[in-house]
Amino acid sequence: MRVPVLAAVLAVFCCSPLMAEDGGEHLLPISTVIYAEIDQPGDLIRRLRDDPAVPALVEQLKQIPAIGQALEEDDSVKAREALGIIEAQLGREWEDVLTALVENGVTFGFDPLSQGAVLILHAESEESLNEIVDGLVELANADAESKGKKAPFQEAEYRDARVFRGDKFAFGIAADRLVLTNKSELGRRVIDAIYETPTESLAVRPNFQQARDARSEESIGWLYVDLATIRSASPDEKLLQGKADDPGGEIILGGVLEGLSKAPYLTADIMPGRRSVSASFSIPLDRSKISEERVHYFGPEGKGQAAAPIHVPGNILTISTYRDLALMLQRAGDLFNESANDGLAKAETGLSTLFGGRSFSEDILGAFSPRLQLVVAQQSYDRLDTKPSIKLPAFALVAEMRDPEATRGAFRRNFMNAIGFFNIVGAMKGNPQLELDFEDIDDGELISTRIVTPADKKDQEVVPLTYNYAPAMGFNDQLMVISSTGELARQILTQVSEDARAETSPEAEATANTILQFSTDGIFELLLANREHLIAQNMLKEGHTRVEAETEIDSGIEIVKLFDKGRLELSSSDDTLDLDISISWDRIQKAE
Amino acid sequence: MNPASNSIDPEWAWAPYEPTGAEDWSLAHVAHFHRRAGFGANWQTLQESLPLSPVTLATQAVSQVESAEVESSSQALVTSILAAGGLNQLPAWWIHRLLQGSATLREKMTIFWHGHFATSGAKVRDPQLLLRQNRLLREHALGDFAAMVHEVSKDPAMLMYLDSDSNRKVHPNENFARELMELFTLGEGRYSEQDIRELARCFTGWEVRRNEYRFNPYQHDDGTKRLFDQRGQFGGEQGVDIVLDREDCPRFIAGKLVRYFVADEGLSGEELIEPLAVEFRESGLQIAPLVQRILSSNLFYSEHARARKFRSPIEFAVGFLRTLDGSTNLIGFSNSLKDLGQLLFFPPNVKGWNGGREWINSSTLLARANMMHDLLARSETRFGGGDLQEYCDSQGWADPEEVVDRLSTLLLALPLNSEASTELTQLLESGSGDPEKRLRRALALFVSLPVYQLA
Amino acid sequence: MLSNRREFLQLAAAGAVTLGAQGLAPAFLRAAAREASGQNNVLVVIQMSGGNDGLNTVVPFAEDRYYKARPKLAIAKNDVLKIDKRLGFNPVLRGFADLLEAGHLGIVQGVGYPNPNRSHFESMDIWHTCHRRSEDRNEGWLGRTVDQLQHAERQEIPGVHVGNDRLPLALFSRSHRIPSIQSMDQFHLKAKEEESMQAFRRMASQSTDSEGSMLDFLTTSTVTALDVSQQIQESIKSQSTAVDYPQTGLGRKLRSISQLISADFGTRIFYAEIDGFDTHALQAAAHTGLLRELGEAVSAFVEDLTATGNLDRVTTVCFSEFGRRVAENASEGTDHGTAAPMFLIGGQVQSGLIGKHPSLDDLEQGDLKFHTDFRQVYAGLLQQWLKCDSEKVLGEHFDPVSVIRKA
Repeated sequence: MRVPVLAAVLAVFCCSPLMAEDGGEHLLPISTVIYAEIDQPGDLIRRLRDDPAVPALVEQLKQIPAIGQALEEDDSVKAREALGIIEAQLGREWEDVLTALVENGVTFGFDPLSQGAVLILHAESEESLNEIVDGLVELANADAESKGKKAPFQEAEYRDARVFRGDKFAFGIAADRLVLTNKSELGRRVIDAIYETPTESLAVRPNFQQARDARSEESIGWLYVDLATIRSASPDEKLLQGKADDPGGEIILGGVLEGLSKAPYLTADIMPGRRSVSASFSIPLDRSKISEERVHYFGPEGKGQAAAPIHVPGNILTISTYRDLALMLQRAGDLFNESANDGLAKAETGLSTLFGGRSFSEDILGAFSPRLQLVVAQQSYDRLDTKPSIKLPAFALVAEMRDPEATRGAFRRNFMNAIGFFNIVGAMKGNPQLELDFEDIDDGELISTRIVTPADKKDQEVVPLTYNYAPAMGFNDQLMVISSTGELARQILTQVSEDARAETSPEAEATANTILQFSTDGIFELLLANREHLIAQNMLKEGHTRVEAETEIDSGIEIVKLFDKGRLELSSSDDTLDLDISISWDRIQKAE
Repeated sequence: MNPASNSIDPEWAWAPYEPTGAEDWSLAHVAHFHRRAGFGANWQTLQESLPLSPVTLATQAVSQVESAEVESSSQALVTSILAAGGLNQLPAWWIHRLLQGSATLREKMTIFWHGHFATSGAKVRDPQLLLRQNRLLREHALGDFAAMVHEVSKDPAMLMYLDSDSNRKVHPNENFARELMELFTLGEGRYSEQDIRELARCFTGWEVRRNEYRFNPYQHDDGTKRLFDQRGQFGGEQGVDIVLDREDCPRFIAGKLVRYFVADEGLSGEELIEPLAVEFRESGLQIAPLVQRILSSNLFYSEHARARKFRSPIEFAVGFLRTLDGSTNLIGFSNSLKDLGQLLFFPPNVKGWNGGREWINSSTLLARANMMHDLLARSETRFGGGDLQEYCDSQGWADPEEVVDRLSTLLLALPLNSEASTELTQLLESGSGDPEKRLRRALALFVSLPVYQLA
Repeated sequence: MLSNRREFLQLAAAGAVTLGAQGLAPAFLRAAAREASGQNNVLVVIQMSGGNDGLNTVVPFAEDRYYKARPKLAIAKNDVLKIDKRLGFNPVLRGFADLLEAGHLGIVQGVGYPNPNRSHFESMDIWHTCHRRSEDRNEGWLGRTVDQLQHAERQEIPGVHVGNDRLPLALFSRSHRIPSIQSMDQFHLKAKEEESMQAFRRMASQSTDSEGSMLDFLTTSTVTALDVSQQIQESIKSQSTAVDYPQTGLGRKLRSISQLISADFGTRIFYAEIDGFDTHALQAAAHTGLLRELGEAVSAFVEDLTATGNLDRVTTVCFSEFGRRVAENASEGTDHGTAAPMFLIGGQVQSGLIGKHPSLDDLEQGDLKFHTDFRQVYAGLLQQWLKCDSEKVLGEHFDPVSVIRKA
């Protein structure tokens, strides 16, 4: 016990002068579990205001039908009028007012002991803070009076601070800080701390300090969540128990849940780019202490790495990940409850029947290495004389075979059997037939299929979804591709061989466990191609008229158009688990 | 109790209704007409109908044609639904027509024929075939009954539903022959078992191949058949003609239409139907004049008819939205009708929906109340494109009392008793929650009341 | 006291008949009336879809041929829960073994039909309609049963199918609509606010119309519906603590059925399904899971029926469209076969083994030969339990199996 206390005291001595300048952690109680801060909001606002791209963005937003309409509605007109009144009252523009209030930083905290949340705005100066608050309170009181209601805030004094109490929340001015809270007890503690730096505050918590030290220098905003305390306070919280209890959830989140169940805290940094923003979440996770049953997620010694994501023309989404599915199923007994395991047993029986009686979990999944990729891309319909009425993207699964020689033959046969079976069933139901084609691509091979439209279906008014799919299977070295179209499989195989020739070893680049990247170009085209269908479905699901449905769908399409691409990366180091998310909107620039 | 039906004079019954005073032709009369000939009407339509005569109203109704706008959005929905292969969205497609369409009597008749020539998507899984049959029924809904029966007999969905898609010489399938006479044209007991066997022989060789009707001469029994009092080497078409020629046919159809439009109970006796049957027969089985006659008759506007129908689930739900210019999530709306016992495109059995008291039991009544509760709680549910409160304001309904009063006129076949009216007014005035929610909640209770279940 | 009660029941019955020409008397009167007239028995059908492997459900552990035919899948003699010297349950069917011990479970052995069809759909349709492909199949055996029961005494809701799947063909009736319910929510009123609920009850119960009129009928029906809603909510409340149902699909369905039986509004036939028995590959784990789900759900159901005093008026029957072949296949699974056991569960069923186990020495192309036609079991249920004319339902005479213990 004694050592941490001593450390804490030392820490206070060493750091408090510096901390006082840095953030608001010394103002918050030591029991605070959620802490967030934005360093230089003033700069951010000014930068946004001065950025030449912003007016272009605003123009573009106004073009979005739903937003354009909303701007003309009563509520938004009233809101703009209210802003005008505020500006008149204070004699400055509202952007200025905002900047003045937050110039030196914004801090947020949540304290479970008092169940209180507090927001601290560090203003440019005490004088302008008082001026603005007086102006706003006066306005609020005048408004209440004109409506025959009582004044919304009661002014009082606490130490040297001016305090205003309302029905649901209170705020106070202490020096150059504005403190807003829903619990006055918490508010008083913060004001106390403003006047005299306390010996005990969040700033002395070792976990917090450790997290704080790791904060990125480029970040403009920072978040800290005390997981250990939350876990012990709410042991029933499912998210923190480390179990997904269903295979889908385990595949996506298993390792993250493990991290959340062990890590003392979580941090996040927000970093702005020129035309992008990114967020990095991080939790401490000791690689060597990852549990046995999560080896399928992180790989042996926690070093499982995804392959470099494949990029093909018209790429919409690629997910590249390290997941040992066969191993996960072997561990199913530890990972899932009995009913999920019974469900898996049923699924295993069904899937194994499909694969000619070979065990799906062991023989089929076990034939592949854990490096898996899912590629989704636009498809061209040139290959078809009959084009589907609803256009779906092509998708492909790319996996590495452990023993290409044995696996290749078995899967080739399985694939051809499946196509044969499909044709027999299809013939009975009047569905189109598939014809097999074989070709060599570089060092690999491709077995693709072609849809043969029945003569009496060539001019049907509505072409069913099945016309989106003409499955294909391809091999290249140790890679196997199963794709919904031959086109995509061919693109992937070509791309892979090119990368191999281009000697830049993609292995070196990739250190992530999972990488997801998407591009909105493809999504935009896809939405546009299916606009009629989306409008019809909107009419059915929302009960909208055609005009209303068009507005809603077109707005959605326009919003997608604003963005450009995004990337999500889950990676682990020796002692952390990190999730980086970034999204960019470069297109606005292009639109200029 | 009820006026005994044998006291109804058939001649008076079917003579055109000629109101003499204002009490004979009020908003209540006009609302009655729209509830029966369609799915109810909003306040404005009632006002517009009031100056018209009963005969004009009925004549207009049988000749309405759907607007190009509704046809085009209906077509767009069909394309989208079929492209996704959505059997499950078919009911929503039809509901869209029922809510937006202007040819409401034609839709109401199409539902009638859908129940009459019942074919279910539970067995015929192909949405294209079900839609094709639906178009057929709509096209002939107010046209030539004989032509409709002929086409239905070759409709692939129908033949598949009645397991008649492969009908071989050595083993004639009697199912379709039986239903054709019992359910489609003559009524039970108006034929012998011998007639069924002989008629089944006429249909041998009728097949469905690749979703199309086809006649296979090699499987057709071309021997002599004895059908009723006729002998000959009849084929299927002639078989249908012989059945349609029976006097029982116009009687059966006219009787069923009278039950559909006039009253579930209290009408019986062949004498009452006879004048209509004779006229139907003499017109060559033309449906429109028959329906026009029924909808403008003394009987239709009499005490024998007013509030003497149980609302079908469609009339219950669609009637509510149409009357208040409502719109909502059509998929959720149409599927919730399943629990009420009337999912369009999915009739429960070959006899279609029996109607009358069979609509009503604990399960369906709770389903009705719950459906309205959900419908009014949904954010997608709007009235005149906005809030219910705004809608009432736009109609000029000033206070809770007036709201309840107007709703009664619009929605109810019988006046609301004063206790219920007071309760509802109180709920509107002093219930908890914000006014919009209060209004919606009160409305949900209103349409769950026993009296709203009458049309 | 007893004679008073008897009189009361008769009076109530008479009252119900007079009041409820359309079956509208309040629920307790209707229940009393049924008890007095003997129309109280309930049949619950559990369909095991996909073809249950009878040989690994009721295991012929004394037969060498069983172990020879199933080197990988056979269940060891020491593991089975013994029924007699030759047969034993799959070890996960602990619940069934206990029910047998208590005299509440009957096993009809070797059930099938002539010229068996091995297509799931075709065989299922045969079990549902009792008709072959060439005949009219627009109604099912339970649908025809409902028609007959309704003719004798009209119930508001003659049958209920519990599940998300579409209505089983067995329940198709020419004259009645049998509802499929997904959850018990459908049976209680959703309006939450107490004030509006009370207001609604007051408003709904005011009828100014004459007795027997349409409005009067609606008013009575609405009040009944509100009672039903309340009864079901009460039975849900009282039950939730009483019996611990497994959190499985079948467990939830049987709990709903028990709640509906307790609320008692006259439904005589219930239907539920459990799917997944088509075990062509790696059968062992999947089949074990399914039998566990079945056994646990049925045990909980029986416990619940006992607690609510309904065990003696409910008979549950489990069937599958066919059994599986005697020999296992190369994928550690089994393929479509023929005869298999049916199970009868309830307070009054003929407990123990019924009929002979099909011989493993006398096979027909590798399949068991059936001893008992499923329609004989239906005939037994119809005549001895539901008091129906089985010939009318089945289309011809079948010698009924004794499914109900003689009083």
